[in-house]
Amino acid sequence: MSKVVTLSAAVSAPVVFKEMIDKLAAKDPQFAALIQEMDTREIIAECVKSAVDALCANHADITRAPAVLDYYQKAFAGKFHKIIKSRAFSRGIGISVDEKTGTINFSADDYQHQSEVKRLKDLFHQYFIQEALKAVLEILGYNIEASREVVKDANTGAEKVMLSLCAGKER
Amino acid sequence: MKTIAVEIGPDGKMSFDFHGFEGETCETEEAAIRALLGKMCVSTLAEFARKEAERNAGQQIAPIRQKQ
Repeated sequence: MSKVVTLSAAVSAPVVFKEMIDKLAAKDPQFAALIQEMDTREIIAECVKSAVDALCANHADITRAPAVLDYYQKAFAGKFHKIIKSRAFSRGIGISVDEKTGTINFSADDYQHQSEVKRLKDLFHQYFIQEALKAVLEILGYNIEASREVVKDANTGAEKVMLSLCAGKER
Repeated sequence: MKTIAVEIGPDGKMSFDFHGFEGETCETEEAAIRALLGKMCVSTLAEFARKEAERNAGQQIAPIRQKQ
């Protein structure tokens, strides 16, 4: 029996602790309060969209897909914000944002394609972090330039993507 | 001019490089960035990672496949 499931993810959340808010509150209590009260779900959904746009624009083998299919090519009925696929994995990965918690979920039938699905999830995660950072820096008044570099691992020959942002503002 | 260069690696880890900041201003700015990012990402990705860890520990929802 094959089915589409919510996948385990190799996500490493940015390490942010309560001390960061406390530290900020000591300097700027109003801004700290603003951050705590901010509803970021719409921003997260927008970042998901932008991350998929950037992913598809920068990687020729990755495109949007109309549906998430299982091993038997049966479409999964779940609702997704975005669906991506690659040449090596055409069943598609559904990306959704939980409207209550803001949690990002990936859904796919990764049978026999675990490594490709992991590559796609990791790439999405990397682009999502870049988009989230862009949103944060824009809120703080920076002008931003984003860039991307593909480097080959000297040992394995595998391609790795390095994303970077350069942000600036007048003093 | 204040500038910040950020690199995001394949594992999603970030490295910051601040220029034109002085002392505590730089620390405060980094705190603001991380706090805002935390509001956007930690509440989402960290929770996701936690749920996945719980899910993996259970294993019962993993798909069971049969040979064709």
